[in-house]
This record gives sequence, C-alpha cells and structure tokens, in this order.
Amino acid sequence: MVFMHSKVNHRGAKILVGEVHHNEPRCREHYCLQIRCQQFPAAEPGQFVHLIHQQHPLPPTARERNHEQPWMNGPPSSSNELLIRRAFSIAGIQQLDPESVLIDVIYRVVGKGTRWMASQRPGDPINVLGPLGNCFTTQPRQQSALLVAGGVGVPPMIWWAEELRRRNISTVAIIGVQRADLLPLKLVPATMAQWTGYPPIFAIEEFARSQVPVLITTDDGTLGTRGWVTDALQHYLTEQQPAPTTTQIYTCGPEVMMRRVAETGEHYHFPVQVCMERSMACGMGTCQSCVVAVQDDAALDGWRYELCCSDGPIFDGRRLRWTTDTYAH
Amino acid sequence: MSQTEFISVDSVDMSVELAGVRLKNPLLTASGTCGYGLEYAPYVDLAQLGAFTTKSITPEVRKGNPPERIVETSSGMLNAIGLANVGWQRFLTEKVPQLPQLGVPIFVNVAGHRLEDYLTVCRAIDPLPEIAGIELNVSCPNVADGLTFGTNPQLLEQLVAEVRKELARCILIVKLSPNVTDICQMARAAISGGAQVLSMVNTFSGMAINIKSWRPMLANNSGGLSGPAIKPLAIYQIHQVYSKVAKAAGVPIIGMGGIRTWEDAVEFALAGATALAVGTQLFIDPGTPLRIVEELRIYLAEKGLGRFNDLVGRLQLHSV
Ligand SMILES: Cc1cc2nc3c(=O)[nH]c(=O)nc-3n(C[C@H](O)[C@H](O)[C@H](O)COP(=O)(O)OP(=O)(O)OC[C@H]3O[C@@H](n4cnc5c(N)ncnc54)[C@H](O)[C@@H]3O)c2cc1C
Ligand SMILES: Cc1cc2nc3c(=O)[nH]c(=O)nc-3n(C[C@H](O)[C@H](O)[C@H](O)COP(=O)(O)O)c2cc1C
Ligand code: FES
Repeated sequence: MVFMHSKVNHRGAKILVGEVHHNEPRCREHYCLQIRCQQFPAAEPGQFVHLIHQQHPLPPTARERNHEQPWMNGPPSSSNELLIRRAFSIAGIQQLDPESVLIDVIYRVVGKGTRWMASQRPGDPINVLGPLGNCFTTQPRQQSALLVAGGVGVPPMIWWAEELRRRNISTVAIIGVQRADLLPLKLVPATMAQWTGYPPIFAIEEFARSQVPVLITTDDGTLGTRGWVTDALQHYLTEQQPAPTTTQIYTCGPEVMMRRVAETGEHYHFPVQVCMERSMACGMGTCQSCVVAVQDDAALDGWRYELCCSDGPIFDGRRLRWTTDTYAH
Repeated sequence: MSQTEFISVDSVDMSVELAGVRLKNPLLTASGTCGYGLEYAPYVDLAQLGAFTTKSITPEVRKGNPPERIVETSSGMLNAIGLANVGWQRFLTEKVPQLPQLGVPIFVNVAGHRLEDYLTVCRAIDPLPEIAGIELNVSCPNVADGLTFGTNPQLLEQLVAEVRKELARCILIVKLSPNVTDICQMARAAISGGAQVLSMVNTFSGMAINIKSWRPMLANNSGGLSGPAIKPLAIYQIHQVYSKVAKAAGVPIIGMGGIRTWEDAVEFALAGATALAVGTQLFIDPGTPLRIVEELRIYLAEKGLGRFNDLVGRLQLHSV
C-alpha cells in the first residue's frame, strides 16, 4: 500500500491504496471484503470508508516518467469503470501484523459498484478514502446498549459491539433480515442464552466474539421470529424493561425501519443513535449531495440540512426530521 | 507538431493569464465541486492550484433540493443540488476570512434568479481584496419570465452588462450554459455584455429513471450531467466558441467537462481552453489538478513546447 496524498485531516482521513486480502460470499447476496493497508488512520465504530478501483497506475514521479513512452497512451479506461466512490461502514479493523492493518467491509451486491467489488480477487489494488464521518458514542453513566439493525445495517454494529464490550457495556443485538439466506452472518450453536424469554436468542459468530446475544427476525419466519425487528424491539423493551437513563439504542438499516426504531425509542424515553445512508459523491463535505434534514430551532421554518458524510452518518434520533418519502433505494 | 531542441521539464512555463489575473498554472477547481475553500485542504496542497472557484453564492441562504441529489449514470453523474449555499452574508463573515489561506487567486461563482440577485452579491464581493474575479453562473431560470439567463442572448447580454458596470476590481468570467442550440450566439452575447473570460461548460440537463418505481432517480426529477460522459460535448462547444468567437475577441476560455487526466487536459487546450477546471473528478481524488499540472509539464517538454500557452488552440482540423 502506498499513500497518494499523505496529508492528514483533522479527523485523520486519508486517500490510500490498499489491496484485497480476502473477498468471499457470506450469504446469497452478501460478501465479506477484507482490505489490507500498510496502515490506517485511527478510526471509530460508525465511521465508513469510500471505495473505488485504483484508477491510475500508482503515480510515479515526473522524473521517473520523463522520456518513457508507454504512458503517452494514457491509463487504461474501460466503460464499466465506476465514476464515483461507494460508501461502506467499517465492520471491523484489526492489526494483521506489524506491517498491515485489515479493514472489514460487509456488502450486499445491489448494482454496478458492488458487482465490481464482488469480482475483486486477493491481491487486487483498491483505493480507500477514510475513515470518514462521525462515530457512535456512549454516555458516562451508560450500562447497557441495544443494537437494532436491518439487512446491510448490520456491518457497523459488529465493530460497535466489540467496542461496547471493551467499554463494559452490556449489549443485546436485534437483527432483522428478509429471509434466512440473506443473513450476512455466521450462526453458531446457541451456547450463551442469558435470557430465556421470547423471541429465542441466537449466537452469531461475529457478535459472540463480543459476548453479545442476538435476537433475529425474518420477514418470512425462515429464521428466528417472523416479523419486524421493530416488533422484537418493542417486545424486548416491555419484557426486559431496561432503564432509559442508563441504556442507549443504536440503529442502522432501511430508513423506514430506523424511523420506527427512533419513534419507539422516543416513546419509551430512550436516546437513539441513528446511522443514516445517502448517495454520496465526495464523502468529504464538499458536494452537498448527502443531505439529511434535522430540526433547527434557530431556522425560520424550524429545520435545516446537515451532511450525512461529515456531520453524520450517526445522528441523534430526536433531531432527525423524517420524510414520508423515505429513501428509494 | 515539431520536435525541437531539448526542453527540461522544470523549465516549462505553465503560467497563464486570465484578463490580467496571472495563474501559476492553468488548473482550477470547478464551481460546486470544491466547497467554499478549505474542504480539501486535509487531502491536498491547495496552494499548488492555478486558481480556486467557490461554489455558487446567492443572496439568500438556500437549503437546496431534497435528497436524492445525485445519481451515477453511464460514465457520468447527474446532480440536482439546487444551489444549496450559505448566502452571501455568511459567505462574507464565515468563508471569506479563510480564503487567503489558499494562497491562490480566488474566483467567486455567483448565481441568482433575478438581475437584482446577481447585482447584490457582486456589489458585496467586488471590493474584497481576497477575491480576484467573479464567475457568473447563468444556468438559472429568471423568475421574471422563466427563461434561463444563459439560454436567451438578450437576457444574457443585459445581465452581463449590468454586472460589469458594478465591478471596479474583480474580473468578470461568464460561465456559459451548454443547453443551447447555438453556443456561439451565447458567447457573443456574453462578450458584448462585457465578459472578460468565458468558462464552459456547465452541466447538461438530463434525467435518469428508476425502472422499479417508474420515478425519476433524483428528487428534483431532472439534474445536470457532468463527468467523462460530457467530455466530447464540452470539447466541441469549446472548439466552436474558440474558433468562431473567442479567439478573435481575445477572450480566454476556462474549459471543463469530464477532465480526469492530463490527456483530457491536452484535448481541452488544443480545442482552445487557456485554463482548465476539474469538477466531478475532485470527488474521487482532490489531488487530480496537481497531478495533471505535473504530467502536462512532461508532455509539453517532450513536445518541445516551452510554455503551456503554446498548446492552446493548436488543433489542426482535417480538411473536409
Ligand atoms: C455511510 C454509508 C454506509 C454504508 N454501509 C454499507 C455497508 O456496510 N454495506 C453495504 O452493503 N452497503 C452499505 N452502504 C450502501 C452502499 O453504499 C450502496 O449499497 C452502494 O453504494 C451501492 O452501489 P452500487 O453501484 O452497487 O449500486 P447502484 O444502485 O447501482 O448505485 C448507483 C449509485 O447510487 C448510490 N447508492 C445506491 N444505493 C445506495 C445506498 N443505499 N446508500 C448510498 N448510496 C447508494 C451509489 O453510490 C451509486 O452512486 C452504505 C452507504 C452509506 C452512505
Ligand atoms: C455536484 C455538482 C455541483 C455543481 N455545482 C455548481 C454550481 O454551484 N455552480 C456552477 O456554476 N457549476 C456547478 N457545477 C458544474 C461544474 O462546475 C462543472 O461545470 C461541470 O460539472 C462540468 O465539469 P466536470 O465534468 O469536470 O464535473 C456543479 C457540478 C457538480 C457535479
Ligand atoms: S458526499 Fe459530498 S458532501 Fe457529503
């Protein structure tokens, strides 16, 4: 891995070239990608990376290039090249050896960009911009956490669960997927059911590492409880009665789902941190493409836009101004 | 194209002049793709740019369009940001004080929906020593008659003339809208109004449709197309304006539209662009303009050209 621009910003994001370490299907539509970088700036759960193919051969210095002819033909271009980067939550970071860091990304193949990602093989270069955005937070008095995720909203929760464990916060995850074969996680035999209520608890490899039990819902009942993740949340809150003063809810997934989670949280007086998603061109706060509407009492009409890439992606659920016409993708 | 004596890469003179404003190299940022000033500072040394162009400033604070505001299309992207900006008052108090940190000439892009909008902002900006020039974004509809300023020659000439009268120190750049039948007519109108520099092209109007929902991909329904998809369209318009209008009038052109590499930059220069702006590609790599400068230097040296200016407008048409 080589740095293209070594300047570090206040949050420490960089543009760097890593290589694919591992890239395998995880379930029918999800892949798990590990990117190996020589180093990666300090990052926190909730932050994301912005990925694209390595467009140029690594830029040699002007001196090295002078009087060589091949470059006169220009870099190869192909019509199925991506134009702009694609955003993915960081699902984990680990130091592989003193020389390299592994960044985990779990992605669902939905279009051109993610199809390109699925075609990448170990050793292929990949251009990484990150870490971007803000991160999940805990409060000083916090004792427990509820992670509520749907579909591709699961990845950031894996890393956050690890960090919550490190902070000694007792955590339960509630995960909803459409069907059993769309769960981008590895089930292990349930060995650690601390709570014998309903719905049943699963042990999921990615969360078991952090000793976080998982409740699963599927739309069609092929795994866990049939129904919505928000029903399971409601059920959990009324059955278990965690204390709103020492518990926070964290949610990531489809916008309709997150809206319900935020409303449920508010109803029971829990703070909710919402991980939003928007189409992003730059990720660096310049293009204004990724706006999220938030309450703003100072504004004449009571609201303003903030940027998902740099003010978010994590927003306080109480500040969000949900629109009925939720995100179309 | 003559192979002449050896020219060292370092000795190539990359500087260009736009209506008296000297740029140390011809690479600029395109309005709306580089924020107000310091957004890319963490990633690249902005002081190495030729000049910097801010996003469009309007008199009022504008929230802009609802999301989704962008969508990627074949080799391009559509955007409908809706001129979201902090308005000129906050621009003056919050953004302008940071501009000297860039260390390069600054052009402020100004947009509006009535003549008075443009005049208000231009009057406020003209006296500021931090600013070298004003770029008029004329791709906005005029509330008075719904016509886009930049697609009606009379309206365009009048707008440019009125703004020019207000300017005592800033140079006046007019950014043409490409969504017209005859771009040369618009270039002539802008120049008779008093444009000292033309910049082209702005985005082409376009639409993308979600075939699942049968709705447009953008919340605004339509948007502006940028990126490599528009490069040949931009080059052709620049070629036409340069050869038929701008060259004779002595008005330099800032060329843009899909520039990603030094090869793209060479094409734009050959077609007649004195300066070159990178837009969409900044989103992928804000260091692009700086890399292009270095690579252009090598190209020019190898071509035996001592100055970037020697390349401008050197296109040799086939005889047809
Ligand atoms: C902060 C953030 C974190 C994300 N984390 C993950 C993750 O961990 N795993 C995962 O699978 N996906 C994640 N996404 C969504 C992911 O970015 C999109 O699925 C992906 O960009 C689709 O690209 P595509 O070319 O395959 O799809 P296409 O639909 O062909 O994409 C076309 C365009 O739309 C944009 N786009 C499409 N869907 C989305 C979307 N849902 N969000 C943002 N942009 C979109 C793309 O960037 C692209 O410009 C995240 C998005 C954001 C903003
Ligand atoms: C997201 C985005 C926002 C833009 N905003 C503005 C703007 O505010 N004012 C303006 O004059 N042009 C604006 N443009 C147009 C660019 O400055 C440029 O003319 C156009 O994108 C073509 O160049 P490119 O293909 O290199 O991007 C914008 C373009 C994009 C992609
Ligand atoms: S993605 Fe460009 S401002 Fe957020």
